[in-house]
Amino acid sequence: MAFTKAQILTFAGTLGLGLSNSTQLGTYFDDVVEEVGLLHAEPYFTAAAFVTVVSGTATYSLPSGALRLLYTFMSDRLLSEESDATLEAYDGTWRATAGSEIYAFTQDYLENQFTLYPEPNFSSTVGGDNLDGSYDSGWIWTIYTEDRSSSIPDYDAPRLACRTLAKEFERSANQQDHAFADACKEVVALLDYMLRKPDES
Amino acid sequence: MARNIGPTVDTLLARVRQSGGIALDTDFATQLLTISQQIANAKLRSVVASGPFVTTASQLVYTYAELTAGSIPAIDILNATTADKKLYNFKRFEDLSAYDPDWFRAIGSGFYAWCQIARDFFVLYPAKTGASSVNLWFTKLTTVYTDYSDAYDTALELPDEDVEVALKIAEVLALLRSRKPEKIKRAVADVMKRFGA
Repeated sequence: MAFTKAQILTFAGTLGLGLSNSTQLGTYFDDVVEEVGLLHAEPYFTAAAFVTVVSGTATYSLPSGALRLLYTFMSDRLLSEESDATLEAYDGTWRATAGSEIYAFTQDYLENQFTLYPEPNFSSTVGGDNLDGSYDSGWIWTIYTEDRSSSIPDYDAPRLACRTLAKEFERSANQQDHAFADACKEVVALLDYMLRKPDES
Repeated sequence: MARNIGPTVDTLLARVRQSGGIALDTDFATQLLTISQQIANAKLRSVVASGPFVTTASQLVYTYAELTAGSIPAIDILNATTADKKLYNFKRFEDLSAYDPDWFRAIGSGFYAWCQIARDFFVLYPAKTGASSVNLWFTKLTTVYTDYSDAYDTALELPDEDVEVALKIAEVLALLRSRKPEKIKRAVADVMKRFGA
C-alpha cells in the first residue's frame, strides 16, 4: 500500500492522540512537503517531466507539482544551474542573448519559473517527448522535487506525520506542547537517519 | 526460525502498555511494526532479492515504479549485472555526469554502469540500441500489513537478529501516544546506539 495525504493525517492524528486540529494539521502537512522539497539535502520525493521549448521564449513554468529543479537536461546535456549574478558577470546582456546551444538555467523560486540561457531560437518537435529512442533533443527534461499528496511510500509516512505533528504542537494553541514537539523532531531525526541511503554520508 | 507478526505485535503492545493510558489498537500496532520493518531494512539491507529487469531500447532512465512493475520491489538497488560482468556503481549522480557530461543520451553496445537518483530513479549507462535485460540485486520493499488477525501467522521478513531494530522503531512511534518525551528520547537513543551513532 502507499499513503495519501488524508491517510497520513489520520496516522498523525492517531499518534497525536487526536489532540491536534485536523484543518491546521493539513496545512502543516503541505508546509512540510514544501519544506522538504525546497530545503532538504536528500529530498523525499522526486519526479520527472518534459517541458516544451518555444522559440524566442527563455522563461518557463516549472512542471506541475514541482518545487525545485534538481537536474535539467537538454540536447543530451546536463545544464548548469547558475545564479542571475553569475550569468550577468558572464554575459551582461544574457537576458537578450539567443542561440541554439543551451548551457545554463536559473531558477526563480518565488514565481516557480526557470530561465534558459541563452534563449532558444528553436522549438520542440511534436512527439519527441520520450525517454526512449524517439526522444528529440529540442525538449527539456527535468528531474525535480515534488509536492506529493498521494503515492507516498509507507516508509515515509511516519516521518511526514512526525514533522507535521511537531509543527502543530509548537503552535500557540490549547494543545501546545513544546516537549512533545521536540520529541517528534527527535523521531524525525532518527527516521531521516534510518532512511538516508547507506552510500550517502 | 522467522518470527511471526502477531506475537511480535503482542511484544510491542506489552512494551508500550501504560497503566491508565490509552491502549494501542492492534491493527495500528501491526501497521507500525510492518512499516518499521521497511525502515529497518532500508538501513540494514537484510532482506535482499534479485531478478531480471527488461530494458527498453535507447532508454537510460527508469523509475522505481517501472522497476516495481517489472517485479523489482526495491527500496534501493545494490548491484546490477549482465551475463558477463558486474556493472560499475556511480554512488552519486553527479559522478556519472562528471565521467560523461553527455551521458543523458549515450548509447553503446553494452551496459557499463548504473546509479540512483534519490529513491525514485534508476539509471543504466549507456543505453543499448535494442531491448535487453540486466539482473538487479536490491533491498526489498517488505510488505506492510494493517490487519492484526490476517497477519498474525505471517512471518516477518527480517531475520530474527534484526527484528529488534524494527520493534524498537515501532516502539518509538507508539510511545508518541504516551506523551512521555523522556521515554521517547530514551527509545530513540537506544536505536541510534545500535548503529553506533
